[in-house]
Amino acid sequence: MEFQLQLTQLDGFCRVNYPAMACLCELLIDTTDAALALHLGQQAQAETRRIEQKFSRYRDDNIIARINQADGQPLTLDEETAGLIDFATELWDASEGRFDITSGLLRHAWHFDGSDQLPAEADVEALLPRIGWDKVRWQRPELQLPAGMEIDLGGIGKEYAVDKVFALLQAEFDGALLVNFGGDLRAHGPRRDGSAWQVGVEKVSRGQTLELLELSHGALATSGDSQRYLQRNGIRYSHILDPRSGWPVAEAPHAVTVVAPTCIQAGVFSTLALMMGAEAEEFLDQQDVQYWSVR
Amino acid sequence: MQLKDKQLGKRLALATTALLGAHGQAQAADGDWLVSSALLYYSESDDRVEAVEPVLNLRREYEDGSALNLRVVYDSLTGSSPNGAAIANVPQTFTSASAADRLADASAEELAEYGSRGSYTVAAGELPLDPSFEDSRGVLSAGWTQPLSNNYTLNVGGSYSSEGDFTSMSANAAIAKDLNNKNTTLSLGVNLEFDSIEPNGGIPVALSTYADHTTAGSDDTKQVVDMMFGVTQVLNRRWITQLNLGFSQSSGYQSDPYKILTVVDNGNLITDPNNPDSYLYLYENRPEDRQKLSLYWQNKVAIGSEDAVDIGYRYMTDDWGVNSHTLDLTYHWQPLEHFYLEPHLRYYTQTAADFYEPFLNAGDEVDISGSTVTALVAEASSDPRLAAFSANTYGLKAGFPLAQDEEISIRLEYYQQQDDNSTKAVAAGSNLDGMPQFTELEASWIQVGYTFRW
Repeated sequence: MEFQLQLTQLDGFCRVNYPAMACLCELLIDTTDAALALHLGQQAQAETRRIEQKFSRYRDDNIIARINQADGQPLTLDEETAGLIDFATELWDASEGRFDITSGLLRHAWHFDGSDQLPAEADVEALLPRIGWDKVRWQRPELQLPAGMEIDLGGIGKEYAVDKVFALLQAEFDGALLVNFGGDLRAHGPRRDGSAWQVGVEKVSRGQTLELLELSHGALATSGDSQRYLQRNGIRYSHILDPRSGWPVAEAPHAVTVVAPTCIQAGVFSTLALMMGAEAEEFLDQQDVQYWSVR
Repeated sequence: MQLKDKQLGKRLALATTALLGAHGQAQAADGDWLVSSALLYYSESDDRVEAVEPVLNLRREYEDGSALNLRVVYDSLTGSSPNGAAIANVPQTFTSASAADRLADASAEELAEYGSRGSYTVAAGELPLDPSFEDSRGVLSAGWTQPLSNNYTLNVGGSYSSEGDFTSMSANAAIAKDLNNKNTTLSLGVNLEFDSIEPNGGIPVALSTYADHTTAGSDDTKQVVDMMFGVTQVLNRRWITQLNLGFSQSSGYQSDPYKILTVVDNGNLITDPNNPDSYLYLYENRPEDRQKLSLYWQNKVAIGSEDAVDIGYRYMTDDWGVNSHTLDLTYHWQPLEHFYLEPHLRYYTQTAADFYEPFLNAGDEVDISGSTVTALVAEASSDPRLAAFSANTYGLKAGFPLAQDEEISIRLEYYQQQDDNSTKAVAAGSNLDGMPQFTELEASWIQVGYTFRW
């Protein structure tokens, strides 16, 4: 039986864990009041589940399913969904088409199982007419997706959930706290004893040690391809696909971790950096953000 | 390949604020003022008008979307203004009635200061300019924006302006409705204006002689009603277009009480039959009613991530015979986050008013029988603003956005008129022969602005 929620009292603060969004969610709350920590943890869990249920691509009863099954008909979106679509639209434009929530269909051609099975070029080509945000009509709050196209907010969903849960907790608790969903995290500090939260930056590649980082304000997100790649004739194909070509980005770092004011900003920077391939670090330098890349 | 857009971080931050709200993000608190201040220096060529104009605009926005706007403008004008008389090949001496009136009860000190302006002489071949042009003007206006239910927005406002001899009051109201997910906005507005004028020396009798300066009371009024209908349409993410239709009706005293016209006989100046010291000039007169219809079409198109082009066209026609076309083009070029340039071009052309005359001819336009001078035309004015001309404006603005809602800017503009009037015939060898009948105006101005939160 899967556990639902775990509260741990630690030295001077509380930790709450619960499974959601395909990871173990963790909250660190700078209080010794276990009842308060439990109350906050339950609220955070409810908000996380709400977001997961609302925006998961793997359900057939939510807004994403309705959009993807609209078959060319226009749909009127609620405020929250419209906000995310606006955000994705701006990112698509700012990234010159690299960040595209309609690119999920490429999974039909690509199976990143560590094997050497590359897709046939024709299979990739056949998908491209159904990919591209420029083919979508979006006039808030009305969204009209051409039949056969799909959207997937997975690229920003977890980071969005971190920021939303963080805001929810901050509204009720003015002490230091940290929200960590499998390495995508946001912190507010410093703690009452003056220390910052210790955050482990996971080195995604083999054999690297965890780097400990002190984070008292801000967020951190990691994008990487450690488990998901194809390898053929010595070339490693990362799971970072360029929606404009349908093919993986060449020479992308294995992982990029970025620090930003919010988790969603950190997530966008790390994702876009991977899409810059060989120029990932140059891109991040230009953006003037703190980052770690693993090659 | 890198992104061409170097502003990704800024756009991402803005998009994040829109998505998540303002948690922890710097944002203007409800209740502080957005202050726009500017200082304009305007200068016409040939020692004509010079003006210094400080402008202060205060805006305060409230959480429910309503906003208060206050504006204070102060103008200080000095220099010389054309008095309307024609350029002649002989010197002309004018005794300014307004100056004479001012001097009537002036102190000795004032006499010393103004004495030279009581009468003035214009050299042969020079444009007659009245050097006593000195005025200051203050404008105070206020506006309130109130969002209503069902996507309606109400705007109400008022304005008061005052200068030495002229007072203007106006009130306006407009209602706008957003349709089609705010992609279309329809608006309907009305403005009522009430002006009163009390010229130095009183209101001259229409087309009476300058030297006599017969007055018809000390003051007069004018009322203006403006109506505007507008449609704003978002065509796509990059293009917004606006079409406005305006109608204006003004009635009352529309003449310039200080402007005169030269009366000539076959191109020669005539001595005023009642005043041997003066040539013959008549006070101008304009119709009491004016109706204007205008059409304005504006387009704003975003180019790339930071650039934008703004193209506007205006057509105006009125029952005085003035038809004008304006073409206006501004390009916003922002190569850096904290720097932009805006080149500006404007072309303007208008036809002359039906009663525009650079001067009047004795005989068919003015009858002189002995000492009785009678105008045979009902209206006449030599005001160059009612003449046919075209004009080019070239401008450049440099802006330095320092932070959100904080910016320093400097703007330079240069304006040049071209005469489009047909020449009114004069006899060869006469006083007006070979003299320009319209003097092309040339002006430039510089404006320095600073916007900040307070």
